[in-house]
Amino acid sequence: MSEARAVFGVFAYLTTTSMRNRFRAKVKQLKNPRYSVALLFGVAYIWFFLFRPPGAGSARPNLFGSANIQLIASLGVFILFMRWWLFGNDRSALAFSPAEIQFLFPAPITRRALIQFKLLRSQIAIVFNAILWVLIFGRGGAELPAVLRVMSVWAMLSIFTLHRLGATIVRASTTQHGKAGARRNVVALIVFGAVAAGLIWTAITGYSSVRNASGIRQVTEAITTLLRQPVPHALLAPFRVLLAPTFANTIADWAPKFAIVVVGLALHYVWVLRTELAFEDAAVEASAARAKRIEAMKARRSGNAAPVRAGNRTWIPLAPSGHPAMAILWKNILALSRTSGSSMVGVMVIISTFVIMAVFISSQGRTGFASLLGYFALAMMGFSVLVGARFVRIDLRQDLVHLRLLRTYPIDGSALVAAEIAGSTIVLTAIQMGLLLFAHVALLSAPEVPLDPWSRWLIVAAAPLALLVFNAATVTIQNGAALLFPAWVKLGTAKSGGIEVLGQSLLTMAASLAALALALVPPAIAGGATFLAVTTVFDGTAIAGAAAGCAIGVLALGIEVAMAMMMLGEVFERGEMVGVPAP
Amino acid sequence: MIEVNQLTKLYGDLTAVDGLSFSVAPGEILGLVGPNGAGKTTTLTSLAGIIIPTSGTIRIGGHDIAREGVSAKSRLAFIPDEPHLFDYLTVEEHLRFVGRLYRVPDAPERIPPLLQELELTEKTKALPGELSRGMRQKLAIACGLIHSPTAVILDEPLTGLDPAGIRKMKSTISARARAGAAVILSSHLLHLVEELCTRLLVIKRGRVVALGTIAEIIAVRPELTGLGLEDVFLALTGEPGEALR
Repeated sequence: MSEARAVFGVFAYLTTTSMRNRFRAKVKQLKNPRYSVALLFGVAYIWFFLFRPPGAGSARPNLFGSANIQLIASLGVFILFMRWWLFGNDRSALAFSPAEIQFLFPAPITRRALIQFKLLRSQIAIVFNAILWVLIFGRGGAELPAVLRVMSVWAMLSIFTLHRLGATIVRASTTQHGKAGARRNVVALIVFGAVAAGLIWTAITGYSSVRNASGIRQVTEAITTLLRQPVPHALLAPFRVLLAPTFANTIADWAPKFAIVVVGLALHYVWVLRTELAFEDAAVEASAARAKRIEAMKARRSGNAAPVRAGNRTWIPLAPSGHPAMAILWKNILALSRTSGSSMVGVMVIISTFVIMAVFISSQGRTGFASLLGYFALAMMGFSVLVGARFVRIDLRQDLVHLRLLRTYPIDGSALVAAEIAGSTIVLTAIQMGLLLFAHVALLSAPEVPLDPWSRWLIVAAAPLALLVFNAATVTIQNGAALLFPAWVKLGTAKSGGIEVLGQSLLTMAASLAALALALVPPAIAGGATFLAVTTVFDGTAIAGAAAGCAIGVLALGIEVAMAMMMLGEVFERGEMVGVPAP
Repeated sequence: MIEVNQLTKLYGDLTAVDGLSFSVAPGEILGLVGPNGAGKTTTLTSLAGIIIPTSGTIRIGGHDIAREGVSAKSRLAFIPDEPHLFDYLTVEEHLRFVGRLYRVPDAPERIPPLLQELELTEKTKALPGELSRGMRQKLAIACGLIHSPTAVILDEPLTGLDPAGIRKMKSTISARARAGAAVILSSHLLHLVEELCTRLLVIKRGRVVALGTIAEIIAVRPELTGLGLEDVFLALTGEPGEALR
């Protein structure tokens, strides 16, 4: 048996047995009825949205069939590649776990074998993601069989992974080789700089066509027309080729395009393997950095926290007296301000300034571009309302790894839970209000918006309270999941991987959305009844009825949230919390 | 004052702690010792209100920790073997944070002498990630002491400390006891237990094996007369005659 086959066998054994044992550990948790019921709930939800047969007349979306989306996606892929080459300092692509370093690095195996191990590991997530992408974005409409679409997405994601790995290795290598290395990096700078310059020139020359468009459809058409011009078309050609089989509609169309991508995949594979000399140094460095973080994490019994530079510390005062719960909120806001950092604030300020300028300029002429930005902000706000609570995590999801410490504090459980939830709720509400205000200003002159400006101002004025309560509900659901199903929720800031983690994440997201839908039933009934009462019994106008209905709905949701916090406080104080990472 | 009455903790079929009863008076340091798996950590975490006992009562300063958790915990400090710190709070901010949690209005005034006592003054603005293991342990101890607790529970408090730190820590523990705090100290370092503790609680498989001063324990087991604490411990917790072989 050749060395390569033997090594592959060892790695395959390590990967499959680790997966199997992790899966078994998860299955063991299902003995707890709480987890088994949640699993059934989540599976039913996922089936309903991803696998149920289409009903009569219901059209299924197939985003992979759209040429315009392919064109815009090629621009996105270019930006992704440029980021890896010019700004990429993410060494996680190279890092090995401490156990892998301990067993694999001193083992009598080649560097090439280590790279192959890394690639083998990444394939698990890639295959899973490819299936998921096709299930979500390309379920119907086209002739191309789903399995071929999955193969296309797999090849595309594999190239992404290889390219990112290769770019990281080259960048790491060039960093270590001083001026000589910097010269090699200049090549990437020139190539991507030239493409970016060509695209920016196209955007400047074609700006008026986008500005004069009105409505999202026309603006999209204007952008894709620009991208079809000879210069951007040629510059983005390699990225379009990469996406081509994924967006093919027939087998005849797909086969040659897929063959080209497979060749590209093979070339990438060879390229990454040829970086083997640079690989070990870069991998050791990246792994050492990761090991250091893990060591710090173990010592501190906390998450995989990035260090904060001494000069980069914000300060928020905390009065020495007052309700103890405020200390929890203060701690979480302080942590967020330090993790996001002043650089993030700076970027946001710059982007906001540019966006506001764009709105101002475009409002001098046609409203198309301003409307586009306004709708984009509204969409972002809607997205953050629905799923923002999954991403802003300065609450129990971050603190539950300190459960032992939190439980020693002389503070009522429900007060502590409320304080934990308050941090994420306030931050989410602030972000959404910013987006709403921006959208409101951008859409002030938009003729297609149904409500008059005065009514829109009223909505904006009432929004903070409604958003605060709604966000409290979504954050409470996320924190409830962390308290009730700690083994299924990512706690702390440590990253975890594996196919079942992806599935688990999907499951918890599905369960959270379903729980939100359930939580909204009583407020919807209360609000609807109020609307009917105001419009029929009291002969009020529809607007008055809607306002009263919304107010009662928000009140009902607020009561639900308060009750949920009390219940979770009890769970926090008295629950066994099996599944919380051992301190 | 710490009072424990018939403390029992079950994990499914496993009895981790079985009907433990003892008390620690103000000014007293009780050494909790036992072999691995004896139930020490379960006992300590139950006393700290981290886990809920299956049965029995725990009173801290006269307050039942199950019924009056907030009152009981406000008099208590639990200092675990591994320091639990928040990544993004500096040393001083940790103390301000804990001061607010434990309702210590004069915390800003208490912080400088406490930092000096634990030799952390130069690290006031440092984050936990910038501290050594020993300094993190000192910070955890400072957080436990800022509210002047009347009951202190220490689980292997010397882990990670250098010799100077160990000496300092021993004097801090003694000083707190002299100031009137009831202290429980769990450690495998028997010489530390012997040096600091006024009484000893030896447990095995969740049950009390011996409780009292070393003299009192030997009075009950005369065959242990003349043996060092290590041999006494092994005799009490091992198979019969193990220590004498």
